[in-house]
Amino acid sequence: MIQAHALTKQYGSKRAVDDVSFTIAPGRVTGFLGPNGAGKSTTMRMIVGLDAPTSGRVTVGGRPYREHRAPLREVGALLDAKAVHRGRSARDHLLAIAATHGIPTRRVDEVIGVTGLDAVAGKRVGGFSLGMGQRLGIAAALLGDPHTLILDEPVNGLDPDGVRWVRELVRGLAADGRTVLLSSHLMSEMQLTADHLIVIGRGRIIADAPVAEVVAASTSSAVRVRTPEPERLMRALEHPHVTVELGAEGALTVTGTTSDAIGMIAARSGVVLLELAPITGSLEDAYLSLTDASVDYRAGGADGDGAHGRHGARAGRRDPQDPHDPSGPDARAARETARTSTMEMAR
Amino acid sequence: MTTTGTRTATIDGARPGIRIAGTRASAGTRDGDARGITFGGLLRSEWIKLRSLRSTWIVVAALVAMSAGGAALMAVSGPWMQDGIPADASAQAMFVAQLLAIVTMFAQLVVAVFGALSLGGEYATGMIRSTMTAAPRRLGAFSAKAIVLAAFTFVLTIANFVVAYLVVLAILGGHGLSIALWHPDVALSLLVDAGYLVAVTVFAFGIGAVTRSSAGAIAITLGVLLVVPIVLSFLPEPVATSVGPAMLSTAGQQLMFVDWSDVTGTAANDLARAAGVVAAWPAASALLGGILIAKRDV
Repeated sequence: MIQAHALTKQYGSKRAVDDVSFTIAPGRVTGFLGPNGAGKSTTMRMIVGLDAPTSGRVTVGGRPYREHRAPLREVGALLDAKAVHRGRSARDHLLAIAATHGIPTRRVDEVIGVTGLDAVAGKRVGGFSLGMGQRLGIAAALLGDPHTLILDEPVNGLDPDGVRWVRELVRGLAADGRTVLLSSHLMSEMQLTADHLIVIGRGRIIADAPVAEVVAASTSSAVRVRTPEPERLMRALEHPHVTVELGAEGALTVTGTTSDAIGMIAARSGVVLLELAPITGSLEDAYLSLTDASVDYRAGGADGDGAHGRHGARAGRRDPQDPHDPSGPDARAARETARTSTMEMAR
Repeated sequence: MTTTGTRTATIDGARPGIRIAGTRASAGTRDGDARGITFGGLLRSEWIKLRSLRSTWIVVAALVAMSAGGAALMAVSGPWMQDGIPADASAQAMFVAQLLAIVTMFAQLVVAVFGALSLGGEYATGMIRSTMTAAPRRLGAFSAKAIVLAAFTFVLTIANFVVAYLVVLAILGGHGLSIALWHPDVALSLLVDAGYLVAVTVFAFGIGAVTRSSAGAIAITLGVLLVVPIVLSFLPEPVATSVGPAMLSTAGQQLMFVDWSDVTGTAANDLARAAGVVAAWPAASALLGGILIAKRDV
């Protein structure tokens, strides 16, 4: 269990983390998302005491990290795969860390085996690939068999086998009742791995909710409809908030309403439906729309219209009574709505 | 190699049960020997770190080669090869002390680099973050590192002086040099020189904590040892004589070239003051470094 209360970190004039409060519960994988520079790493560094908060506090298992008698048994952290002396062998690196807590050599060899480092454990870390460095970082995090794991970009540089291995590892650890906080920029991977999400942007929490909720609240619920009479259905669906796109072979993509409403309207109008399928958004869409306003570093070309076109007009469902939900046609307004609804959810 | 590692991981990965069991197997360990951070553990950790770096052993080799070589060179190039060495024990002790002092002047450059690399290297590689995560109270790890470094340097320099002495004895034994290493005056010189080198090492170590880089720490340490005393000597008179003796290397030299068979009254007071100066520099540097280590973000 990690609890942050009004956590703030100021670097000069920049507020890297701004009055952030959250609780990361055990027994599930919590994904930590946010654009570069949003404050993820700073938050993680404060959790393990590398950075001191400007104000506020963060505890792990009920007390600040540095006040634990055996901090490595409380928290295992991979914050930076390069936090290793390049001239030392992987095994010596782990032995040195283990020695601080009196962790036996047999545990060192165990984590070397678990992370698949057996063949390179005696080699100097300077020659390691990025993926091997990540495995060593994970091995170090597992050393103390901790209640809580904090992994910053653990799959960065891993091959597909390694990515799947990390996913299964953290899911297994969470199933074991441990607290897992995981950051990644790979949204598809995060959608597979995490149960719960905390999204941070410009130092503030944008969302704190189960993955499904975040996705649902921040992506459009588009519906794919096929009918032999697309023109008739389009006329029947006409509403200021509803947009209908006519695709190939009479397939319609309807946004701004629900599949239930479309089904009922079609029945009332006597239009035959061949297919009626809600299309759920991906975490990637949800993430991009959530963080759109808080991206600090953006490639020049990807701004403006491109970004807008990609997210399209998104709106969460507001009023179940009205089949045609009142969501603004303006893309920006729709995103604001989505963000507000998630903010409420985060409270 | 890499492929083998990955393959193993995949096979296990396909059966997560095994993986969790692997982690869980040691959950028993947690309850079994639930030891936390101990100072002994921190010392052991720092010793593992020190001995597992190639640079440590390069320093050892460099130091021994330089000292043995330097001692040999001095032994063969002095006038004593023709004139012989006085038989008087205190004169012989003084002779050996002077040779060791010159060895020390060179050795201080090596141990300064050694001390500066200790924390500087951790900052340069990012290892410091692993160190401070494992020992988040920081001062424990900092002190453990200083103690291991100081103890290692002490043993190393003593061994180094013994080698230098043996080299000199081998060359000059036939020219009348006969004083034993354990003659009180010789042993005292040897301990004083080793103590001075430990002081230089710890001074450089503390500066490493301040600068957080090896290069900066080496530059400052060598500046304090070699450059500042020279600059001071050029300053107007009251400054030169009052501040000069307060420099680490100046005070160190005062202790190195002592005829221990003849120390009395004011001379003893001067030596005590010099010893205080030699101890104060590393103490101040370690104190400053410790405060900064504890306060600053890593």
